[in-house]
Amino acid sequence: MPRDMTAELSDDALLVLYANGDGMAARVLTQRLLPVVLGYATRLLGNRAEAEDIAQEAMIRLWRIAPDWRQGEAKVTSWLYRVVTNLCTDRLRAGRRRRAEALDDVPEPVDGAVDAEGAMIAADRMAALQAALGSLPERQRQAVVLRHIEGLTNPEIAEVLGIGVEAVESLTARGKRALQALLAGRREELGYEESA
Amino acid sequence: MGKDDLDDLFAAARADGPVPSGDLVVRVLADAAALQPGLEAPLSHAVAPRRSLLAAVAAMFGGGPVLAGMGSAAVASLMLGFAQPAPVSALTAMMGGQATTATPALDVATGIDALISEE
Repeated sequence: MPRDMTAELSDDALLVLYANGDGMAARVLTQRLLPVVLGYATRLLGNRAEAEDIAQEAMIRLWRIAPDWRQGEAKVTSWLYRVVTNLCTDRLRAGRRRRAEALDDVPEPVDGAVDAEGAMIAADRMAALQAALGSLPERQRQAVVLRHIEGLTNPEIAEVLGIGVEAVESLTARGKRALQALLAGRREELGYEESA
Repeated sequence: MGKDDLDDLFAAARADGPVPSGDLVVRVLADAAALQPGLEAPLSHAVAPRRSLLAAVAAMFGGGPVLAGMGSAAVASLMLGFAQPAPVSALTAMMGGQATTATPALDVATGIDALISEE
């Protein structure tokens, strides 16, 4: 199918085309979904190289599920967000285990916020935000990123995270308050002094 | 930091999303090609079956049944040419303007009388 025609199709229609052997569908899906997957993974992990690995793995899972995909049952992006969330959770847990094994003799930091605050000293706004996000509890970070950076609705986030809408509202509210507190001491450094 | 400041940061983060590198795109598309269902390897060693000479001749004349019919007709013509049975002789004589009064002896298979008499 010509590229200009496939570009107008929905994600799940493209997935069905891919499963039927269409050569252009994978290109359009990659162009459309890879930036989304990579962006979300980068926000959760704070590491570009690891985020690329996760993004590639998530897309592999998408290609594998294509023959069994049921059109209209779920949004492809919601499904991908869920896959990336789970892959990042596994990656972060494995990383914590590795760090714990490697740093047995090094004293643990008192609090995650200390790391974030230290990183903000020489960082720009994005780095400061990323560091602050990294210091949030995992579920709060996922909910805040999905709501305020990825732009999902609360019901969509509930579907991705497998929790209720009220729990999502609670997570995003607490996460946002925590971010404000973490970044409060750096307002001037981040260029917000005149808007106080 | 105020709520508006944080919202500004979020907006900046949305606009500052990472762009996939060319290498990552190539890897993802290679995965897609490798995992795409319904694509089978081309038949690179397909060889047409060989035909015998008889089959080739039969095909040239329209197939085995047609060739068999042609063979039967050829044999029948040959027998008629050698034996020339009475109805045919009478017909040729009539067409030539000669009346036939006697029918010549018909001997299609010469030598068979001797075999019969021996039994």
